[in-house]
Amino acid sequence: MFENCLVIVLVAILTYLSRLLPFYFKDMLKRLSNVDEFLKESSASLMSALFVTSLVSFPLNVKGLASSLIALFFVFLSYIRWNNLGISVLIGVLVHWLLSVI
Amino acid sequence: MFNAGFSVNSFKKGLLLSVPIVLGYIPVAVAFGVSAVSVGLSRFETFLSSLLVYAGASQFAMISLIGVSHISAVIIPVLLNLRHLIYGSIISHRYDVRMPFVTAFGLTDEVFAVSSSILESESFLWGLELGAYLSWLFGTSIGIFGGEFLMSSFSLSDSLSFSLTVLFFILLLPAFRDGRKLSIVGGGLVALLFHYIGYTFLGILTAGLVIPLLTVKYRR
Repeated sequence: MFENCLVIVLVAILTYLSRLLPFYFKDMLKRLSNVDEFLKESSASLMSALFVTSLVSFPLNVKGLASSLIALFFVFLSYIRWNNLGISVLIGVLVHWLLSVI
Repeated sequence: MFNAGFSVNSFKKGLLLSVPIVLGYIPVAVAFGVSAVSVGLSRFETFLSSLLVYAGASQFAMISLIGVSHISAVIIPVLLNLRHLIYGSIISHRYDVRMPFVTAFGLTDEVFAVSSSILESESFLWGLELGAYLSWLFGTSIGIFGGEFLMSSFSLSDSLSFSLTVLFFILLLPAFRDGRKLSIVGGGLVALLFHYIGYTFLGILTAGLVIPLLTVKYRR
């Protein structure tokens, strides 16, 4: 309990600082030409890593993975259509659930 | 009035324009509440996450790693949040921000996206941020208190946990559009390899630090 709360508070402080500090160091950040590029690439790479590790588990469950991939296809279509995070999440969960009860 | 520059109309406009964000946040926040409780966080800890951290992807990353290692549960969300350095930097150049310690708290991906496309005052940003923040807390509360019912009544457990994967997938799409395929493929493959041999955290860390360094170097 204490450790979990400590993790939450630490993440909260560091998240807040990552949002706040650029307001005070905006000129310095602007001068570091490669930082912007690195942060953008890092964000994409991390998101990809989190995505694959949450999607795939070992030993491989082929049926489960297939259900997830089909649901993600519908998520993709809905996101293209409505560009709304909430709707896409709802559709993803719903399709995944329907495939699991079929 | 909070300060001489506060405009009620701009604040209201921001609040109104937060509606699309609110519609997007509530289901995700519900999913977060359900997922956090299902991985073993207490109701208090789950609500505290949304109250203090208020960063969707980071909160999901945190709860998915908190059972693996507390260190990784801090490092990975923080690495994910590094993109906020860009947001803050851009907003601080576009807006006359007088109270950054207030404005910075609610600067999420979606708030940034809306505020960077509409040039208004800081009061507008506060309206936008408040609407989004309250919906995040509201959704989390539904997830916390309704989660048990959802899990037991409809056997939705696996599918609700899948919302985490969906969120990461959707947040990945803009990076594809921006041509960051090298980082996406590289990061994904490295993470998958480490995940396979049982060092998931190390894989995610490598993806966040080494792959972007190599990509930037390759592009120069």
